[in-house]
Amino acid sequence: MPHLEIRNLHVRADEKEILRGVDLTVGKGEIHALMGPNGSGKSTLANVIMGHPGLDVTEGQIIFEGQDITEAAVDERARMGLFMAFQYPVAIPGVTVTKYLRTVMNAHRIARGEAEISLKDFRQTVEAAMALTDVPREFSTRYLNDGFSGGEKKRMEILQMALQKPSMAILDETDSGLDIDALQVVANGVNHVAGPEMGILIITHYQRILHLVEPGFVHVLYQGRIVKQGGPELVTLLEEKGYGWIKDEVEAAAA
Amino acid sequence: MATEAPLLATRRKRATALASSLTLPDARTPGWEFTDVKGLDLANFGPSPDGQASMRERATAIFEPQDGARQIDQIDGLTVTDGVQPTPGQPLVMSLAKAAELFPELVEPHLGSIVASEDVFVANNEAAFTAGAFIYVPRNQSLDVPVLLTVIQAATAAALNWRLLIVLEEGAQAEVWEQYLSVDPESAGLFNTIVEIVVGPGANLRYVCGQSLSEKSWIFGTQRAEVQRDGNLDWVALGLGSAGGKVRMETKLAGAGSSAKVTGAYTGHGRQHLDFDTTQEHAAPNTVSDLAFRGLLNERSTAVWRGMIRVEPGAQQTDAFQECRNLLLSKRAHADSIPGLEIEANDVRCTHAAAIAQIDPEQLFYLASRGLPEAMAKRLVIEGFLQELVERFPEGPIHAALSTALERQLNTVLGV
Ligand SMILES: Nc1ncnc2c1ncn2[C@@H]1O[C@H](COP(=O)(O)OP(=O)(O)OP(=O)(O)O)[C@@H](O)[C@H]1O
Ligand SMILES: [Mg+2]
Repeated sequence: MPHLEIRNLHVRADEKEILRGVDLTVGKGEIHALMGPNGSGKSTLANVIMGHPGLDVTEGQIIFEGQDITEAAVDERARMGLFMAFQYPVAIPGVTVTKYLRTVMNAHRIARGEAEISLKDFRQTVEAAMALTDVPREFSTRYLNDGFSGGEKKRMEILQMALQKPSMAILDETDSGLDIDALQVVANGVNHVAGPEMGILIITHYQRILHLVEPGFVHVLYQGRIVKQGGPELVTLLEEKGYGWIKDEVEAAAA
Repeated sequence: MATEAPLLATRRKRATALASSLTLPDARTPGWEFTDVKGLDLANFGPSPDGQASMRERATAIFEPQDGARQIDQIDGLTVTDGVQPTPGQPLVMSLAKAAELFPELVEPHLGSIVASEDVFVANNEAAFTAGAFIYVPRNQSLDVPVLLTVIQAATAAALNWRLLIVLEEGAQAEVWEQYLSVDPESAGLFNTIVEIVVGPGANLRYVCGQSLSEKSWIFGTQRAEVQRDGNLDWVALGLGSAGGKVRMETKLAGAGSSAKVTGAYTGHGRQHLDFDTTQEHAAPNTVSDLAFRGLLNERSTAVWRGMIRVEPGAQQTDAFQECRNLLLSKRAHADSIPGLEIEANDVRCTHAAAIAQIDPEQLFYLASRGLPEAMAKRLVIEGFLQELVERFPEGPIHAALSTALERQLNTVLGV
């Protein structure tokens, strides 16, 4: 059974059609890469999978673990095991990282009918995740993403992924704007949570991360459609040749 | 009031005459454009009856007394002091009426000298205020325990005129907490307060005033502080209750090197209307004022904050800041923020900011994407909004009291 399946997905935002029939399947234990030029609809796809309220699905379905979640509430998707690392994580002023992480953790536990996490367990779990993602301890008392640098925000997203242990993670350009060490940290984080039960979709513009987290499948999104699919060799090809040839192919096919 | 001190009797007589010649403000009265008192008929509010001490327990407090706190309770017309005998030369925490009798030389120079404006509410207060409270700290002394004043309106359809005078002599220190409460959430009272504060040279005062009157009550307040050379005032205000009215909070930095930090939070729901009118008056050089308000409004509640920074000629090197931020939780809630500057000196730094916003849907999406149900996500964002104000204070009694009060009030505002 595929883990996440996108079927003929058409999506509009503000009356503009952004996704125009996307098909994509991610199986358990698979790592996929999604590439494509700026504005091709990658973030839109990630957001619609997560249930962004500003996006309208006009046709098609999103199936996760056998269930149609096209209309499911955002928080429900998260508690089912979906996770998206944001391309631009949002700041929540006045809410410390500690308070936020506890609230999220407890929301998941309460939904599962479990008791709230003890202070001790919480501290241990978070400290381990901070060590894994190289987030300094002082960040516990900072407001979530407020004044964080680009790289710090990205590491905070991976930290949350490590804590949440989703069964399907979508990383929207988590590798953008990272220095070499931070990239390694993010890759370690991803490899740490990856496993035979998990699906991962990495949205990226760069080869670098794909050498550290090796995808078995590569998709190219162009103007709201997946126009090319292949193995890791496709990444090298894109890096060499850019997207021009894909554009030519699409136009030739349309003519 | 047969034995009232001559000092008060004279003032009352004058104020009574004045009050009868003054009329209620209307929408054309400067400062009253956003607060409508058409529905107010002063004749509907009789004098406060004799109060009953047992009502103290029945009012939900905002602040609990800190260990060893000196306390005065006012319940309608009844004043209950903590029984500590006032000793000349020592700090005094006593009823104002009693102080006017025993220590007129301490009261007379200040009473009515700070709040001197003459509108109908001020005049009515002066004519009819109950025993009130007087806090006095002599030169270089400090009140080593906080004071808690609890003023409770138990009667309905009555006017409670409350008056507080705080005088800190040179180098003195004190911390005064005050709360205005109602017993019955359905009672419709009129609460009229005047607070006069003198912070002497190099003196230090923390003054915290919270109101959680019934949501059918009127509140009118004129609260004004004068801070003298190198004095420092830390003023905190909480507006949680009441149906409508207006509270003025004015700080005059009267002496060189004086400073004031003013922090306010207000919340509304239902059809509440809150009005805070703040003034930061810089009348001497090298003075600093830092004012921050935050408001949270749900349902059809409304609020107006008007803030004026006034820098007088000669008040060079003034550093003044004011900001007011509102978070609207419903489409029908409304806030007005009107910052103002009147600057007559040239070497000054004055900054202001005002914001009125709803919760950002992208914040809610982010939090929901991590598994938080909508109500929880909203609450977290709101708590953060309020927390930023609470963080103006280091961990300690103020920080804790503000957190507790706002957290509790959030349940009321959100209806949970
Ligand atoms: N709410 C919206 N209203 C109108 N247009 C939108 C909206 N959201 C996205 N778009 C448009 O849809 C297109 C796809 O945007 P998207 O963010 O999905 O691109 P992307 O592939 O992630 O690009 P990048 O590589 O730059 O991150 C863009 O042209 C964008 O301007
Ligand atoms: Mg994008």
